Amino acid sequence: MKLRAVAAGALLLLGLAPHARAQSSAELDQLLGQSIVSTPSKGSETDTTAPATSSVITADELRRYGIRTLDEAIDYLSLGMATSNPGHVAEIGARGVQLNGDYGNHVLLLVDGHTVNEPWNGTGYFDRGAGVPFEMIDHIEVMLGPGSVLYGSEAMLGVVNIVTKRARDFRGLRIVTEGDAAIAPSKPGGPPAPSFFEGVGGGYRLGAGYGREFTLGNRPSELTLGVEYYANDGPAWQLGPQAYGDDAVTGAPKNFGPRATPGTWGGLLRHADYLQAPAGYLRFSTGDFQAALRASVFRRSDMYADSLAASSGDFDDPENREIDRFLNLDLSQRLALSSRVELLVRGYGDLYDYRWFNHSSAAEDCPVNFTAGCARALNGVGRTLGGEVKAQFQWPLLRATTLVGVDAKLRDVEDNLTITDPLGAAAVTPSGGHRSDGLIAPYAAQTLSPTAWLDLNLGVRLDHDTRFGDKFSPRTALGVTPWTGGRFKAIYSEAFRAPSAYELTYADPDGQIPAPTLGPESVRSVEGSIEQRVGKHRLLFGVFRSWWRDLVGYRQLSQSELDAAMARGELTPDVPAGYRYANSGQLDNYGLNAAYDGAALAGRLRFGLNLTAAIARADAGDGTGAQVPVVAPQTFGNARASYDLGGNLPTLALALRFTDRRLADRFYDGGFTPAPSAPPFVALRGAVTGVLPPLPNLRYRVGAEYSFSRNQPYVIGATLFANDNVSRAELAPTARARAFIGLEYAFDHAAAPRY
Amino acid sequence: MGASLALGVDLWVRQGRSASVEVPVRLQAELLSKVVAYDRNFAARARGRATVLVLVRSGSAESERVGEQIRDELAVLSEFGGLPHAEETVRYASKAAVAELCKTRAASVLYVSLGLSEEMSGIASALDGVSILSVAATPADVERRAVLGFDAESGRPKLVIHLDQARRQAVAFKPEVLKLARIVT
Repeated sequence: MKLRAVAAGALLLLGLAPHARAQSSAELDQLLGQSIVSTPSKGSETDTTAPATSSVITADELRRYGIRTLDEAIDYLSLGMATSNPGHVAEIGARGVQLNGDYGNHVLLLVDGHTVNEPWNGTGYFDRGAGVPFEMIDHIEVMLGPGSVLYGSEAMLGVVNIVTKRARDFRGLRIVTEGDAAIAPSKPGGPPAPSFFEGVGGGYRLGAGYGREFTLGNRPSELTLGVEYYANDGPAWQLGPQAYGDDAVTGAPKNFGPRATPGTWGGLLRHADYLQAPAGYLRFSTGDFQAALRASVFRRSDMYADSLAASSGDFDDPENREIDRFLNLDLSQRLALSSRVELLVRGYGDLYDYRWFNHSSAAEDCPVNFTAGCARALNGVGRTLGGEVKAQFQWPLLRATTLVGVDAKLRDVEDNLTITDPLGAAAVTPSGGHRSDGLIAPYAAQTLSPTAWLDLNLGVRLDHDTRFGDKFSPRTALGVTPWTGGRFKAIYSEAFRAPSAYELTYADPDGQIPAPTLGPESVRSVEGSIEQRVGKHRLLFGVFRSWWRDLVGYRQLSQSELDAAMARGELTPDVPAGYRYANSGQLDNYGLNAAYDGAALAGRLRFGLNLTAAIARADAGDGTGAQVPVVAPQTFGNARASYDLGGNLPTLALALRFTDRRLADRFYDGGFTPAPSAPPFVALRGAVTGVLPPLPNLRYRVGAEYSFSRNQPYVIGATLFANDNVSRAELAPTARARAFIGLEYAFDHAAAPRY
Repeated sequence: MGASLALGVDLWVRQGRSASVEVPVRLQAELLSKVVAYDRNFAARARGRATVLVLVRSGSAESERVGEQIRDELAVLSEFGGLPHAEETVRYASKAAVAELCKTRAASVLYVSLGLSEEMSGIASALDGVSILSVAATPADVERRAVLGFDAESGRPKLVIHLDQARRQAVAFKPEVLKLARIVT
C-alpha cells in the first residue's frame, strides 16, 4: 500500500498520473512538443517526421541554462555530439568519432542555411568563433549522421544549423552586457601559484540588437541586426616545468623566449591566453526576397604548443596568435510558380582569411642558419561565389513532394608561409599554393507519405568537383508511426569531405610537401531509432553503425620520396623526415543514442537527459592496425533540470555534462609512461535567470560552472613526445571554475522577448 | 528575353504580398484535428460530420499551394475532432460571400490560406455571429482576427488564439487549450 502511494506520487510529479485535466490535453502536448526543423530536408517539417536523428536547442533553453557559446550548447543540451577544447578552439565529434586536429571540418556549420565552414580548410568554429550574436539565435538544430545528400562536403558527422530570430521575436532595440571570470586548476609541483586575484581571468561581452517589421511597397518586410564583441584574458595557467635540455643546433639550453628559463619550458602563463571575437549579423527580407550578411573576427593566442599548434614557439608570447576573418553574404528569392511548383533562387558569396603567427627564439625550431630564432607567418585566403536553384513540386493527392536542385560554386584559395630571421641574416623563400576550383552538384529528393503513418524519403546528390572528380551521396529513410505518439525510423546515408585546399597545397620546407592528388573522405551510415511521445514526455532510443574510408592523415615520406622532394626543392636539404597528407585512414563505429525529456508541474519543471555510447576503432593505415581513437569520447552525454518559480521569481537551472576517459592525442605515439589519457570529465553548471520586477524590460542571468576534471586529452608543451628528460606527459588544463553575470535590456516594453 | 523578364518581374510582384507559413502544414492539420475537440460548440456545429472549407485566393499560386496542401493533409486523417470529415476548397470572392458559404455549407471550420491577409479583418467582421472556427495559415492573420493560428516559437509550434473573435464566432475553447496557447485580444 505504501509502495503504491509512493508510485502514485512519483507519477503525479512526472505529470503522468491519470489526472483528468492533464491527460485530456496529452495529445496536444505531444504535438506541440515536437520541434520544427529545416536542416534534414531543406524544408520545414517536424523532427519526428524528418529523415534524420536531430535535436533542437531553443533560445529559451540557451537562456535558462546560462549557455553562452555554441560548444556549451552542444555539450549541455544536444544529443550525440560533444566538444573538447585544448585551449585554442573547440574540437567537435559525434557518436564516438572525433578526428583530432580537423578544426571542425567533419561537421557542417550553417547559419540560417548558409555554410560558414571556411573555404580554405573547411574549418568550422563551434565556440566563440561561430560568430553569431548570441541573443539573435532562435534555435540550434543539431542533425546527426551524414548529410551530404543536400549539403555536399563536410557534412560527415552531422550538420549544425543556427537559426536566427525573426523580427517579431526580436522587436525593437536591445542591449546586452555580460561579464565572466574563470580560475585555472592549481598544479602541485608546478610553477609558483599566483594569488587568487592574479590568477583569475575575466571576459566581457557587449552586444546590441534591433529588429523591426514594416511594409515596403505593399510587401511584409523585416530587418534584424545584431552586433556583439567578446573579449577574454586569462586565467593564469601553471604550466610545466618541462626540462627540455639543449638546443640541437646551438648546444646551449633551448631558448623558450624571455618568459621562460633556458632549457625549461613552462612557468606561469599570464599573457598568451586571450581571445577577441567581434561579430555582426544582418538579415533583411521583403516579400519572398531575403538577404543576410554576416561578418566576424576570431582572434586568439596560441597558449601552448600541442598537436593542433604543432610549432613550439616561445613560452607565453602573446604575439603567437591566430586570426580568422569572415564575411558571408546570402541572397535568395522564393517564387511560387504555380499551386504545385515552388522555386528558390539563391546566390551567395564568402570572403575569408586566416593568419597564424608563431615566433620561436630557438635555433632548432627554425631553418638552417637562423641562429637567433625565426618568425613564421601563415596566411590563408578563400573566396567563394555560388548559386543554387531549387524547385519543389507537390504532387496532387499523393502527399508526395519532389525536390530537385543544383548547387554551383567557384572557389579561389591561396596560402603562403613565410619564415623570417629576426636578425635579417638569413631568408627562406616563401612557400605556398593557389587553387581555383569549381563544383556543380545536382541533387534530388523524393518524399512520399501515402498514409498518415508512413513516410518514405529518397535522395541523391552528385558533386562534380574539380578537386577530386565525382562523388555520389545517397540517402534513404523510412518513417513509420505504428501507434499514437510512436515513431520508428530507419536511415541509410552517405557523406563525404572534399580534400581542402589547405591539405592539397600546404607545404613547409622543413617537413611537409603538398598533396595535390588527395581524394575525398567518405562515410556510410545506417541507423534506426524508436521514439515515443506521451504528453510532454519524449523518449528516444537509437542505434547506429558507420564506416569511414579514405580519411586524410599524415604519411611519412619514404627515403626515396624524401630525396625526390629535396631534389625538387620542396624540402630544405638535409631535413631528417618529410610528410604529406594521404587518404590512408579508416574508421568503424557503432553504438546507441538515448534521450529523454519532459515537463511536469504545469510545465514549470523541465528536465532532459542525452546519452551516447559508442565503440569506435580507427586504423591510421600506418600498419598499427585498428585502435581506439584518441581524443574522442566513447560514452558521453548530459542531463538538465530547471524549475520556474513563477511570477517575478527567477528560474533555477542545473545542467551537467560528462564524458568517459579519453585517450590523449599522443597515447599511441608519444612514448610516454604511462600512456597519457584524460580521466572522465564531469562539469556541473547552475544558472538563475529572470526579470527584475521594478524593470520588466531588464532580464538577468547569473551562473557558475565547476569542472570536476583538470585536463583535456591533449599533450602540451615542448615535449609532445617523450625524451631522455621527460617521460610523463603534461595534458592541457581546463578551467576549474567559471562564473558569469549578464543583463539584457529591451527598450520597447512590448518588444521584451517572449523567450 | 523581354517576355521572360516581364514574367519574372510579374512573379516577383505577385509573390511580394505573401506572408509565411511558420508551422508545417502537415502539423497544422494534425493540431487542428485535435484542437477542434476542445471547442465546446464543435460537436453541435458539425452535427455528426465536420466540414472544413479551405479558402484560397484565385490566381495566387502560394495561396492555392497551401490550400491544396492542407486539404491533402486533412484528407488522410481518419477523424477530425473525433468525427468523420470532408474538405472543400472555395475561392475568395467577397467577405460577405465567405460568410454566406460558411452558413450554406454548414461548415465547422474555415481555413484561410495565404494571400488573404488584407481581407482577413473584413472576413472576421462578416463572420461575427456565425458559429464557425476560422483558422489562419499564418499567425500574422490572428492579429487580424482569425480565431486560431499556428506560430513557431524558438523552433516549437504554438497555438495562437484571438479570444474576442472566438466569442463572436461562438467558439468556446476549453481551458486546457487556452493554457497552451498565446492569447491575442
